Amino acid sequence: MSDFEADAIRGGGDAAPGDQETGEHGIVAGVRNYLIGLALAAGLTVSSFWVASGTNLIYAPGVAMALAALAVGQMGVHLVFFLHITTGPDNTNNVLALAFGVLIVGIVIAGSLWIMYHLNMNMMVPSNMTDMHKQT
Amino acid sequence: MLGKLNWSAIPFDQPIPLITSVLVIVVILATLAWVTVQHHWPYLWREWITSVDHKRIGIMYCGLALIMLLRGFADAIMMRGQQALAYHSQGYLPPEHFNQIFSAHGTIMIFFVAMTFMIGLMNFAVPLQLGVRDVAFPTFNSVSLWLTASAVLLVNMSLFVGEFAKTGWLVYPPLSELKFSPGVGVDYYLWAIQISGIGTLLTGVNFVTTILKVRAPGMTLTRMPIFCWTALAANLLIVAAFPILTATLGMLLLDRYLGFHFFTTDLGGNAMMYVNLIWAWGHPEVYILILPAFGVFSEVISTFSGKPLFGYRSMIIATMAICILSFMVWLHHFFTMGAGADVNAFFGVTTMIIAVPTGVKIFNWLFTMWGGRVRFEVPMLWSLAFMVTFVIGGMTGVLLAVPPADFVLHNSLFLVAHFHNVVIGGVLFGAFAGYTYWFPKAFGFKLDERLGKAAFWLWVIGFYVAFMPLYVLGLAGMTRRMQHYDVAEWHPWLVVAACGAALILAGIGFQIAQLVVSIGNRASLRDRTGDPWDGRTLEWVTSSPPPAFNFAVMPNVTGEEAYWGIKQKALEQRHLANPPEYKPIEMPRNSPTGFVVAFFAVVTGFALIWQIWWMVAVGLGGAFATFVVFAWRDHSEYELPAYQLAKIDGERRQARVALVEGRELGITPVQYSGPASHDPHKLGAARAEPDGGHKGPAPKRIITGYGFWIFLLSDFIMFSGFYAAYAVLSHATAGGPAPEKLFDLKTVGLETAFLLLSSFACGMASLATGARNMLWTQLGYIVTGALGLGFLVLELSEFGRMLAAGAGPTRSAFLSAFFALVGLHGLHVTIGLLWLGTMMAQFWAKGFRADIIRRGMCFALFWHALDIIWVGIFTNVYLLGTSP
Amino acid sequence: MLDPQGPVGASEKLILIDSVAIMLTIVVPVILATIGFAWWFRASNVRATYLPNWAFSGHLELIVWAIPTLVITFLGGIAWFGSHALDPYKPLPSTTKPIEIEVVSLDWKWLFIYPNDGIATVNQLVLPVATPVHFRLTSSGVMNSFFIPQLGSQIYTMAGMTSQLNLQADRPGNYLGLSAQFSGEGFADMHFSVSVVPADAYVQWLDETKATGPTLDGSAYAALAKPSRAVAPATYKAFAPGLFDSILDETASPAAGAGSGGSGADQPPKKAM
Repeated sequence: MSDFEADAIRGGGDAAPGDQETGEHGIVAGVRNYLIGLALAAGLTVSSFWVASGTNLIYAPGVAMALAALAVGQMGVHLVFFLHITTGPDNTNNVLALAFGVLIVGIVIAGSLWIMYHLNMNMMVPSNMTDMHKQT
Repeated sequence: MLGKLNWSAIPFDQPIPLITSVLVIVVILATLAWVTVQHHWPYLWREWITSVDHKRIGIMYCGLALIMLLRGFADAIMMRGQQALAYHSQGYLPPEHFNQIFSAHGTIMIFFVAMTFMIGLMNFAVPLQLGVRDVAFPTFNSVSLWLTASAVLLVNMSLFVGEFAKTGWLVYPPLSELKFSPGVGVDYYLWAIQISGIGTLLTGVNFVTTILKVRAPGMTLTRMPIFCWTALAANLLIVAAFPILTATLGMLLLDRYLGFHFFTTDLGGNAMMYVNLIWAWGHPEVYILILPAFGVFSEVISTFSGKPLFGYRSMIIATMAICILSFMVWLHHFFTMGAGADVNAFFGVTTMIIAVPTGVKIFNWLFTMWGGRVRFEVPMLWSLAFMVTFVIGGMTGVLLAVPPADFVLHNSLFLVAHFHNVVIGGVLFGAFAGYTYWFPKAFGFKLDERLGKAAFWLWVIGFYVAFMPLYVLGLAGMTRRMQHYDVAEWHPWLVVAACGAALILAGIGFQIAQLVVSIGNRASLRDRTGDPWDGRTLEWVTSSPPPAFNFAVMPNVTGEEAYWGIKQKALEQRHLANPPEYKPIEMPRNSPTGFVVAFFAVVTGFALIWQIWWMVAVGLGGAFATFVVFAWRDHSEYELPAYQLAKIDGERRQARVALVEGRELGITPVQYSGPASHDPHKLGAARAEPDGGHKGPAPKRIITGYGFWIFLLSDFIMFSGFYAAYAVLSHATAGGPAPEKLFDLKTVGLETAFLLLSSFACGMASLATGARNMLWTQLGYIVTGALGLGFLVLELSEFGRMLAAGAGPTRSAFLSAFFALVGLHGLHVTIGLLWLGTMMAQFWAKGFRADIIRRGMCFALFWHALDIIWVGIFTNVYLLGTSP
Repeated sequence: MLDPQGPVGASEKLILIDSVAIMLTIVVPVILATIGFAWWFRASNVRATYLPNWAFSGHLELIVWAIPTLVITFLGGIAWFGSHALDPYKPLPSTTKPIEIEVVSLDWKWLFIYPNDGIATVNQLVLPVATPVHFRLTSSGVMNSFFIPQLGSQIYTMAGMTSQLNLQADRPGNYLGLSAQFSGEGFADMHFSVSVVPADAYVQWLDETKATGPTLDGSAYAALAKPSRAVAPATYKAFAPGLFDSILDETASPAAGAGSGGSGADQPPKKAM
């Protein structure tokens, strides 16, 4: 009932995450959108695996960064083409929530790694050094 | 048949827990018998147990918290008694009992008193203040409540069946590992907190969605009462922090149940990782508790000063700043672990920065009183006591944030005094202020003032007598959690502290008396107007207690302090606005889902603790079946006809008319006769439209989608905990197999292809649903499910290969982290497949019903999100692990 | 802790008092203002002006943000420099060569190893006066925190990890040392005595200790490592070479579990997934 109307009018200049701009072309445009997403995602995945397979074309120390960039790119593709997150005004709330989540994920992972790196450096290295000492 | 459970679990040889539990069981049985004899079951079932009304749920939360306050306080007074006696003696509590008591005290007070109370107040007040009829997801709200109750039941069961944790309330490993704590105590803690954690997370999702998407017309964000803002911040913190707790405790559970090595002392386990992660949750948790309390104080101080809150905009900025900053300080809980000067200094400084917005809030409350007409009613007294007490607690907090000072104060009684200073002086005083403030709204009569003031003074004096000595003791070098001691100079201070606890006990006695007396005198304490305190926000516009639907007509908000504006206008004109045109409204139906799910949660939790595996299966199956039945129901709402609304609202309006016409009703509203001033600095004032561009609650599809989106973000954050653990432990191979030899990229590539195509198929199904084409919808879902199943089979065969090669999760910390991270993703796929199956059946049976379509939208979000997580996994785990 | 006996403790006490003093300049006025404002603006006071709409003042807002910011800037500076100057890992400035002591927290007692002198003690620490001490610390199992309140900083001890701490005692005397991190059933008895003695008395004590008592060899350590409570102070004239490192590598003897009744130490169910 009223939900269907609501779907149509998108109350309050607002969209649910995952809602798609179907527009006039409807299904065709929708399928095209998913196909583009699939192609891009597949391309990025293949690139990632290729980079990791030890190709000589990439400067070895840069491999990790290349993989990170490809992964972030692919996550973006999924967000845009599958989850339909856009920069449009009706998506502000969704994007803000996403940004908050990404911020927290970033803080937790980066903070933990930074802290644990220092803890391990301060406390585990002597033990490893004694190991080496015993081996010699 | 019964796992580890046998008669030795009952503490026949320990008189204190035995007598206590027998008494409690007798009281519970007597209550149940009384309810049965009086035939109150139908009423309880209809009006409370199955209620999805946010007010009822809020009241039940607060009641639960008050009962648990008694339990937690009983623990507290036992500890104070023990330490007052245990100078050069063993006191009356042996260590294994004393250690359970302080662990239970901390767990209960934080999770089941402070948090439960704050969630109760938010439940009760937020939708009323927003001018709406309920929260975004009423049934899930009931699930949250009952899951919290399940956890409470489990924790209290440990008194009688088995034991509770003896490790402190944060169960630090390695002490909490199976090797050092072989009993069921830690398991009781872990499962209870995991179950209540699910409930709390649902609350967080529910309230973030409610506040951002379900508000009365014109209630723009910058017109919301400050309590709603602090509730928003607290619930954002819940959504962001609780998944980290779930992940961390999940790792400890894997260690204890399946022999993983996250935090063990052998095979590469790293207990520091636990301490790091638990505080990444633990510090935001502190602000989850205190922020709503700040909101309560803001409302109370403004109301009882007869003035708007000073610096509304500053308050919002300060609240949101605290919300973010609270995630950047967690290391200050373990300065003494030895992370080095740079790390310590950084986190010390960030911690202090939080003091800035907090200080701003204190000043704002101060200036709210300036130029006011301060009425010293009980809620205001609690608020004043809070301001005085909290600045002391804040000062000692900043002191502990200075790393060199913390090096000598960490884990001392100074620390204990500090956090009681902020948790009692802040959260608990806030809870009591809110309890007295909203009680008349909830029940229609005020609490007795004289007894309330007596309780207040006993509590406040008792608090100072109990905790100021602990500061001294901390400075004298006494550490926390000592069952006995031999230092003469500590003894007198501990005796004084015990006296303080006795004063608080008297305060609690007066609070109980206040409740009993007030119920007895409810006729003379009756609040007829719905506005007993001369309030300023929308909850005071409706009657006390409010009808189930809160507002017969959703209020139209035109500025800050919505109700104050309406009231002033009516007082000026000595006339209430004309009766509105009533339209029928739809209200959510009651549902036993929450109660039944909670029942199965208790069964599952209990079975897991005692390792009764068949019962685990029964519990999980029951919970799943309950949700399926819930999702299947045809009528989720009922309609209230307009004539009924007009009748109910007419009674409310009569009292209102008397109020504005100046007839004596027990209160005299302040009328401001000066010129109406328009404060140009007020946010929202500049907007051209009176409704500020906000048209009211969002449509259901958007509410559902947004809620699920928030839930997904919390899921990402849970994964980030496992990611962090994997990143730290990936080199801890303990001489076992390393990633580059272990992983097979061909399989991973194939898995990725399956998942991607499955996602595509799911997208096709979504499109087909949009076009209302059943055949293609089902076809799309079948392909989605088949490919998902293929992924799962591949992953499991990969796991099998590794296990067969001796590279199981028990081999090293690296493998533990690997299996946990990848396994968690696999678990998500499994849950997704179960969900998909149910949903397909629903589409088949019910067709394109609105709620099933919404569920399909959520499923698509979930399924696509699993891809994103998988991208993270295959890059970080597989590709980085094997790349040269 | 308010009566520090060494440079670390003395600096920490000074930092503490400074910080409290700085904050009291804000805290005391705020407390007084809270009571004063509330009292003056009480509803029954007819002399107080009522400003029912006054809720914003740009100047006050500025002050309100500025005061805590300035205080925190000052305190933040103290925190930053203090953390660096008093980093537990940082050697203390001294012309005297520091002595080395290795600390192991066991269930529930402290083992002190004097690696350069070849002796070990339990629950008893003897230090020469005015000499920096460099501690290396670890744990046989659960986490503890090594803390001598009157000398200053504490630090965690953890299995498989070495933490470090530098302390110095400036006056002879007997001080209390304890664990500041709860570690299980015998935690309350996990304290030790610290005797700070003049240099010559210290040498004499070393000599006496080297001459008497048992040797802490592998089996003696295994016996010692078993959980026990309220252990009387003891000394060992010698210890197995590399004892500290072997405890660190957990090869010395499998650390016995705690658990009531001493059972259930080694039964994690190693199930395959």
